[in-house]
Amino acid sequence: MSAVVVNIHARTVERDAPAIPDRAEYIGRLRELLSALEADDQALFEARLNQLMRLREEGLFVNLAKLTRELHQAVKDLNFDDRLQQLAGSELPDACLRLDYVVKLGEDAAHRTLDVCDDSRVLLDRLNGCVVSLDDIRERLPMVTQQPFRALTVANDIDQVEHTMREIGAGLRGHFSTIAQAQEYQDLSGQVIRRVITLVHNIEGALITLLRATNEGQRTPASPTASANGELAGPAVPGLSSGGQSQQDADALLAELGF
Amino acid sequence: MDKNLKILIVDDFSTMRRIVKNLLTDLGYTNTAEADDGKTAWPMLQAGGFDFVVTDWNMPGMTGIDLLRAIRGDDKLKSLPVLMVTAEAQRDQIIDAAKAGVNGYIIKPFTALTLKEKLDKIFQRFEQAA
Repeated sequence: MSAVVVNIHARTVERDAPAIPDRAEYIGRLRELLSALEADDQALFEARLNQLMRLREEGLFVNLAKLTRELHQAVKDLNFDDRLQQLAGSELPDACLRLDYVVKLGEDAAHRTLDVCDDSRVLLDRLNGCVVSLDDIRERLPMVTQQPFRALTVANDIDQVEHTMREIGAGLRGHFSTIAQAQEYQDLSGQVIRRVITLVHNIEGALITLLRATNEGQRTPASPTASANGELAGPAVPGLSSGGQSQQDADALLAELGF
Repeated sequence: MDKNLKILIVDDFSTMRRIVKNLLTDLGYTNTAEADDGKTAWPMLQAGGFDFVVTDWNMPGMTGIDLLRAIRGDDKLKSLPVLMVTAEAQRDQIIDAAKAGVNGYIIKPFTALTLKEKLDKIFQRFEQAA
């Protein structure tokens, strides 16, 4: 905060410094002072010197009042205390909790989907078992023509396979709806992420205002670089020119390197 | 290629470990084990028995590139094939991985087909070398 005050002060003084305020009045008063001095009129000289000094003091007071008003307005406009305190004090930690929740939502949904995939593999194995049973029944069919009393057993076996296949079908249908339902996390996490994006925009705005207030506003903030501090770049995001390579690029690069 | 070879899957995200494990199972490689970062993977590798490593890059504790360097620097493990499966897609990183002696590099998100192609290519090279 103190840095802001100093800078606002410096900027105002700098702007007013080149022009001498009340220049014509000073010239007139100095001429009168000089003529009193030349006339050797001590009373008149004292009076005019006092007038000159009062003029100087008035100018100082006007400037001081102006500076105070500007400073007060700047602090008021920025609303530093309220806005920054709210952002740093509650909204940022809150955003971190929200993002943790998003990570958890996504992870839970992925695990639920993977669980169902595992269960579906078991059902597919049972389906393969049905195919084997049907092959077996087909092989026994010629016997039925020779020994018709076996038809009942074959029919029972077919019923059994049909029953199993219906069970598998119902099971798979249930699994598909579980997978579809697991995607609902996207709606919730999307909403939370949008809120956090809004917060990031607000913080960006507050920081830019702060930069301008501290006289650094003319300088365009450097765009963040991916691995500025030795951090890994992470997933390439479409629309951000982070220099991310595609699998094809990577393959070509490795081929160039003799892989 | 011997489908019974033992593969270590190293990734800090349990979902990604499961996905890789499922894809490997579909390709016939059912003998797998999992570790959640290089630090956990290292003693498992030291204990022996693994024929192949599939590792992520960015992990807490010990990263995939450090694990790769450790493997290449170890007399017992230096010829163990390592496939990097990672979201890190910067040119410099791919070059770093190549320099560190990676055998294949897959960028996430990836498809089952990409995984199969890279595995086949690595095994093909090892068979040729053998």
